[in-house]
Amino acid sequence: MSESKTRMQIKKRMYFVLFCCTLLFAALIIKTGYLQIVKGDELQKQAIEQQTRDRIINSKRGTIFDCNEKPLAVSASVETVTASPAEIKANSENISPETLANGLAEILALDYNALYEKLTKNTSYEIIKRKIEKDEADRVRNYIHENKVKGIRLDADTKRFYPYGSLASHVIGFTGLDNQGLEGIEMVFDKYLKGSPGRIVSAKNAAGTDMPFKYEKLVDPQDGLNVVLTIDENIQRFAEKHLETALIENKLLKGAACIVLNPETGEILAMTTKPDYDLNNPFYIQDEQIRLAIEQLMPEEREKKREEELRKMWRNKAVVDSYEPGSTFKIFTSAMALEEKVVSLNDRFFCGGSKRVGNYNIRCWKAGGHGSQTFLEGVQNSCNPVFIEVGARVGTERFRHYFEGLGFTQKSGIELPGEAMGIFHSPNYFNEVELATCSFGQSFQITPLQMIAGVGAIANEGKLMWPHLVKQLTDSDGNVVKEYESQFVRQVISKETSQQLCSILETVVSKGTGSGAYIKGFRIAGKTGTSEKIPRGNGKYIASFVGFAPADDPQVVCLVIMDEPSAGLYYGGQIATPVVRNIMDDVLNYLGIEPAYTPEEKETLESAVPNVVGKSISESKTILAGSNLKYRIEGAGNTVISQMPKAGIKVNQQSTITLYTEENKTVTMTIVPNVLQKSVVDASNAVSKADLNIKIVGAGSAPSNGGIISYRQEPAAGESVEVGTVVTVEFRRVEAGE
Amino acid sequence: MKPVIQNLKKYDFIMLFCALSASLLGMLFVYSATKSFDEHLKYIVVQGGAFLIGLFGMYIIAKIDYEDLAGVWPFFAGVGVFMLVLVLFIGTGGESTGTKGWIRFAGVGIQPAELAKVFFIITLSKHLYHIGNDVNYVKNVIFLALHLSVPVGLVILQPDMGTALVYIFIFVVMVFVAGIDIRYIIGALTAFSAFSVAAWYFLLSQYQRERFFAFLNPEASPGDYGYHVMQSKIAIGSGQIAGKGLFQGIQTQLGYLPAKQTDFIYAVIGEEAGLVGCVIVLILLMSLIARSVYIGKNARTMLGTYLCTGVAAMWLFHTFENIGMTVGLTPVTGIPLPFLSYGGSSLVTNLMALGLVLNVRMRKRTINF
Repeated sequence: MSESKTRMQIKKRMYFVLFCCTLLFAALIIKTGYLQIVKGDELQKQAIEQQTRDRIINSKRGTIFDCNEKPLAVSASVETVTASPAEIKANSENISPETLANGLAEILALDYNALYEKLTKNTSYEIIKRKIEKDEADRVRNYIHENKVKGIRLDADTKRFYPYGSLASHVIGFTGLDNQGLEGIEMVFDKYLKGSPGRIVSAKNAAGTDMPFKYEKLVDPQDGLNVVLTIDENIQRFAEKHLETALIENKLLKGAACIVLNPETGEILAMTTKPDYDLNNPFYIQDEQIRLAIEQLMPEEREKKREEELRKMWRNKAVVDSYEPGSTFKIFTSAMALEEKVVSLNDRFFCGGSKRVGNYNIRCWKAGGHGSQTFLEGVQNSCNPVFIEVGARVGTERFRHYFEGLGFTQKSGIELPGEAMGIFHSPNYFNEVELATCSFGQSFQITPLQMIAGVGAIANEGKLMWPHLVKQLTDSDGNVVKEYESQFVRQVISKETSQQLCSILETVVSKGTGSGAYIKGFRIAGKTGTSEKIPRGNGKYIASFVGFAPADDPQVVCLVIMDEPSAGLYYGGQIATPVVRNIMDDVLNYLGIEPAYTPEEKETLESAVPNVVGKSISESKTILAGSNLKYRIEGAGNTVISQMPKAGIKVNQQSTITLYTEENKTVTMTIVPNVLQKSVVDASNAVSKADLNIKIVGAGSAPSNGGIISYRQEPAAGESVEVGTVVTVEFRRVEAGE
Repeated sequence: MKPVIQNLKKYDFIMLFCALSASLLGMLFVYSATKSFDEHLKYIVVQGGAFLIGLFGMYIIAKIDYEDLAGVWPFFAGVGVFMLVLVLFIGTGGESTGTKGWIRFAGVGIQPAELAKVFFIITLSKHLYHIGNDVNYVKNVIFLALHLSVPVGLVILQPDMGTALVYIFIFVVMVFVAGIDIRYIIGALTAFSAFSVAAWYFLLSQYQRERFFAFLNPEASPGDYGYHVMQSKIAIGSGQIAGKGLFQGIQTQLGYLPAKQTDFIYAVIGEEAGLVGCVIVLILLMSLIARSVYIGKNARTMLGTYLCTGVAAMWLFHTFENIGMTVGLTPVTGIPLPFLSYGGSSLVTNLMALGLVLNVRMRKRTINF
């Protein structure tokens, strides 16, 4: 080989080396570029994940207020204990994890083993105990300080607190461990209430220790908005009080629901379901028997059953459950017929106890029938054959039109979870027989909420309003952020028909099946309802009453649904009317609506006893006569020393006031007679005979009081009281009446 | 002063510029990498000192004609073997390799295996030059193999497989350029493969095998090995295009990167200077290597060609293996990045190697009319 040839070969080989070298460098550049450009974002994320510790600062959840800014749900500051096991490990020369676990387990009442495991985990963040109160947190702080503990922190947190306990529980709902809304308004308005949590991002080194001064970023939490409800805490309380009593007295097996609505705005003033639950302890089953039954179950079944029972307990009957409205629905059949002018008040009908429709014989609730009656009387009597006839005059097409117009085929859109829609016949299967049953409120289902919204439309000049629970959202300074205006949905019937219906329904209370809801001075209108649950014939009923007042300018609508009464009486006219009456009485007084008495009412009006103490006998006589009161004199003195009843107490006119004229004259005592299960007249006589005064409450005060019997008295029979004492006797309708 | 300047003029500007830039960049990132350490100034002082010593070594080596330099090959061979034997007896643990590759006295530690690379390049070049065209004679091949086996054997005894591979790579490239028959290369490759299979089953420990698997898939490896490569990739990747800025790399500053000032200096550059920094580093190193090959090609004699080839091969292997491991292309070994990694012996060695190339460049073939 020549020198030059060798040189050539060497040069070639060197070029080859250079070529390989270029390839290798290309590989390095490509791989570097791949990591930094293609995988850059992903690796960047991984880097941040491992390099930073993120601590969440919970935002303060907004308050839920009633319409008068009374807080119904508030967030209190608590603290959550967290640990950084990596830091604890690094600090183990100062204090061993064993000692630390021991100390903390004692302060926080935790299990030592579980706690020790957490503190020695190979992580950098562990939650030790959530939501501890200030005194407990202070003890932890002291412990940390005294023992030079590192890696245990107290993070600000909030805890939901419900000042009124179970009040409006089904409306308000509650929150979970992470302050997330789980039921009711808490759930539906969660996104407004929760605000946005803040965070502390701090860098940590490879050993897991925080580097707080080097890289720390704080994002402030944003407080949640407050929700102002249309619920009035006072009205809610009235409704709950009376419904609770009714629940117990009538032994309602499936509970009860009540809604109070402002028909002009659609604002719901009260909504309650009984039995209810404690919002401060929502996972505790209130019914002791169910609780005990669950205890008896096998462990695997227990959780399932418990959950099922909790769901049942949290269920808002007023919105989630649909029911057959029964005779209360006759309000709407009447509305359709009057609006379409297919019936007038004085049209005559005949009820022979049943009516043949197609191949079926449909019975009236009253065996033997109501005989000949006008349409108005038919409404008062809640007579089924009358409504079958009226319904037939309306016809299927128009019936469906109004049914939809009243909103019964759609969800109302209330701000609560799980609203039901109701069930109605499909157009192809809606014929003569179905129409007949629908006319008196059977063979379909609607929710109590749909029902009251529909009645609201009847009471509100035919205008259907959107029923709603939330008035506005405000920020932490009280500024209104969002206003939920009343929404007019549609005109269902004319104003004239509405007025006509209001006066018809007023007579249902003053003269018909609704008399148990009568309140002197307040013009209550309404309709009773009783529906037998399916399968028929099993003796399970839903009794209801829907009423509104004053009839000439309705301000409040109130619906009460009582599911499966088991204490004997089950007609809406018997057991539901007194509940609405009592609620209405409280609500109308609370709202400051002035009573307007009819001339007949004025005669039987109660009057306050005037003060005659210190006056002469003759003077007293004149004063008492001026108040339409009688008197009885005890002793031989000339001046009244004391009187019974005392001044200011309201008694019926013509009651007798006992006047004592001698010092040291012993007070005459008398035994309260048993006046239960008596008519108004019998009860009044029995009370007068015992030298006592009677106060008549409930159905007894209605103008027509046949079939009305007393069922409550105060003081109880057998008690010894002073002569002249007022005995309050409550009456109700016992005559069967839908 | 005048002769010095005149002397400087003869230096290859590109080589000098690239090497000095790489060294200074290296010092900057070593400073950043060690910023979080106690006594972090120590590192920059050591590196700066080594830089000055290396420059002096470079100057000396460049000054003496390489023919004369190679003429004293017994001196280089003797000193190299002496150091490599000595380290087996008095060597102590190193910072990153974990093997006993260090000789320490009077507070200064050196790694003989690093310095010996330059000596090996000189002696092997002389050897190949001496053989001339007869490189394919079996006798010569055997002698060449024996020449290689001395440093490789001694380095393996430390044990330092990574550095042994450097020697083998330098040898293969130099012998290849010298014109060895392809059949020898094929034979050697076959033998190596057979040896690898045998070694896998009989020589490697379970730990070493796991390390190999971890190299193949670091994400799935729970041990330190996979962790280190993952951290390195995260550092480089999170630097993205522009980097996080000097001293701003969290992977670097908060201790996620292993051996960050030595073996993983490229990851530091990747995180803090991004793709821009990485490409600059790669261009500097690539230029050094390519320029060496070019200078070797134009050398006055074959001796110069061999010297330059040897130096280029050394830098290439170091660069590819070191950067390759930080980006997950090659297995992790304790091999530093030329000019950039912290380490006095390494920097001095590379500057001396640079001296060799400059030497060849100054005495290149000139055409006389």
